[in-house]
Amino acid sequence: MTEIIESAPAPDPETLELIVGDVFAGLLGDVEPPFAEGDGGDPLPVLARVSVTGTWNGEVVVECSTPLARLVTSHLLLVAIDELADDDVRDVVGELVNVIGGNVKSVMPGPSTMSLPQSLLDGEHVPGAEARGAASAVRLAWREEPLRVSVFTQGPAIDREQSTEVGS
Amino acid sequence: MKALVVDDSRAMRMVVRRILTGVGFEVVEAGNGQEALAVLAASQPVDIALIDWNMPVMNGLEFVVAVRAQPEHRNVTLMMVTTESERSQIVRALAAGAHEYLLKPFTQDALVSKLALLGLVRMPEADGTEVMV
Repeated sequence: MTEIIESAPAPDPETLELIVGDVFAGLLGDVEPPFAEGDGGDPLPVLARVSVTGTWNGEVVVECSTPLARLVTSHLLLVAIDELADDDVRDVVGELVNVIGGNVKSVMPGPSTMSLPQSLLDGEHVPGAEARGAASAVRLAWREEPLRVSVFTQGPAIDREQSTEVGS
Repeated sequence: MKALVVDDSRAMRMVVRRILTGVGFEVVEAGNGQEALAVLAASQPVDIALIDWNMPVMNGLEFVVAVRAQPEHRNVTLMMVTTESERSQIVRALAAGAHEYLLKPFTQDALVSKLALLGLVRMPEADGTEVMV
């Protein structure tokens, strides 16, 4: 018998863009939303991610430039950019992916649970190493600084019998 | 009135603090559920705790359960403020003793409206200000 396993779904880029816009509005108040910037593939040095496990298994990754990370942090904390500590930036980028990830999770099949966020600043990881075939991604710009949100899927958390039924 | 903001993100605590102080609350903070239990014990009376779900050490649901097991805190209003939007999880939190649920991201108006529903502030006046009950 041929086993057919349906690939895990992911939100489309338009949905990701809407989620990011809502998150920016919620966290930063009355600001313009980030807008789609095309497919620029430059590695971005700041990275934060959360993983989701359960009915849907995947990872949501936010990458951005260092200036964008510091700009968002400055807006959120009402602290001048040159007075920000790295831990402030790490915290804000982590919260950004936490809220974006939570909203991605909310449009995927559940139940599932989300990890705590992990944030890596410039010099703490190899930029671009995450570019490994996202199921869905959107590259945006906010105040002329780049931001990329990617969703990676790890296959459906369904057993072999169920997967066969899905494909039949 | 006094509010306890429980979130592992300092930035989120600042955002919520800014809104709450704007409508007249005194605010105390904790970075996880375990810290929050200590702050709650040391900061009485606390009128409302606003609680993130996904935190290290002790998560928000565990905190709600722990608070509800302590009769001395029976008058504390508990509001989850979280990205956790699954219906089953919301039901779990409410069944454990949370009174309200606010999804992240939220606007200032959304949080103040929830506080008004709980009777902790009046609905916004025509000039946009809110008044403590």
